[in-house]
Amino acid sequence: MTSKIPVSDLLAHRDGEHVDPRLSAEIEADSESRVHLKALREIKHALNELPGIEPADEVWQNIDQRLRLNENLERQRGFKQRYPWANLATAATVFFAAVLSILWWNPGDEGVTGLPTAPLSDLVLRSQQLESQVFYPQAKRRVPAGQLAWNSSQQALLYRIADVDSELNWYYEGQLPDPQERERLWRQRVELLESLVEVQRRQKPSLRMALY
Amino acid sequence: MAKFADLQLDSGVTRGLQRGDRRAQATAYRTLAPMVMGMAMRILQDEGIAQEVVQDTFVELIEKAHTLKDPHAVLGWVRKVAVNHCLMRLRSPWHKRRVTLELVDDADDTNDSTRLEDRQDIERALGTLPAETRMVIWLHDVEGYTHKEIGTLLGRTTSYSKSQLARGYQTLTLLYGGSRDDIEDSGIRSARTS
Repeated sequence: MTSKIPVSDLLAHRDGEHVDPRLSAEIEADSESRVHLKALREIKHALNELPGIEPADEVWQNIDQRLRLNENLERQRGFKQRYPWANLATAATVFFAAVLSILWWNPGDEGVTGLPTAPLSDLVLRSQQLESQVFYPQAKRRVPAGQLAWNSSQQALLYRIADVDSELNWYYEGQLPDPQERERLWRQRVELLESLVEVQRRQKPSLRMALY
Repeated sequence: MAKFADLQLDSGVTRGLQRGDRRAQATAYRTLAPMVMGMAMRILQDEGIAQEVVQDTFVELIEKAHTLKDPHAVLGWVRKVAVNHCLMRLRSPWHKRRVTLELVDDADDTNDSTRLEDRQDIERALGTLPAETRMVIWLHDVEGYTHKEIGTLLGRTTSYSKSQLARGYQTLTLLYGGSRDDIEDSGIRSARTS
């Protein structure tokens, strides 16, 4: 389908934009241009007839999860602003919780659960190493926490780590008495952090800052 | 119809959004999400990334709804935010690597085979275009943006928007209405630069 009138002129005519009246007359007089114009109108009509698309069910769930996470972060930020010494206290608590979990690991559990004794302390240590690997470069550059350049895959992993952390908190508050569960959570935490390190490794620093 | 101009959001829902009412948020999502998803899908041609756009747009809407001064501006605001998120992803290096075209099957309208075929034809034809051209066509022809607005949005000139529209239409006229083989055999597919 070709006509001697350029497509841009036909489109301008179709959309009622200001065009030279002589051009409009020329389009109307030329049968090929009229056919072409009709096709352009049909395409516009077809595009406007395209229906909306329902997103997958989990999209709303993800939105809900992100909103709750953001609310929690906002609350934490407010708390930290009011009590600046809280960072130190939190770090000390986490450290003691990790140490106590290693010290309190009961080898007798092995017989019950069938799990080896060594991995928990290894997992806690590995988790700490990976965490510093993920966050140390950001801290070194003194990037404020709110401005970290995480892409969506990294964010998804961070959300999952936050979920594991809250489950671990329940554990240390005595609400998850099963030691097998404790090890599963630490293992999951290590795996997620390893994925995060891997994602971070694949990104060039300049690329990471450019994202979003 | 997948355009924002056809939508209406009840004023009660808008007020609920501003108050942070959970039910209003869910209603707004049900009403607006298919439009956001439809637009993002047609521009980005990737279901997963389009869903990310939907997520980001609604998280922003819900978190910032209390700052909206004019309740009637919600639809325009959502559209603007969604368009910006699409643009952000088009420019992301991750998106530029992606080449496969995924069409979403719509369960409705399957009784009317002609309409379905028409829709698939235009969807497929649209999918063969470069990403920025798709965006120009969608914003101009469906969302009613002017060339000047599109030029500003893309950081280009008004003429750039006009030329992209013309280029896109040259391909669409060639492909739309042609058989599927025409589309698949056309060299334009391989020249796609999304």
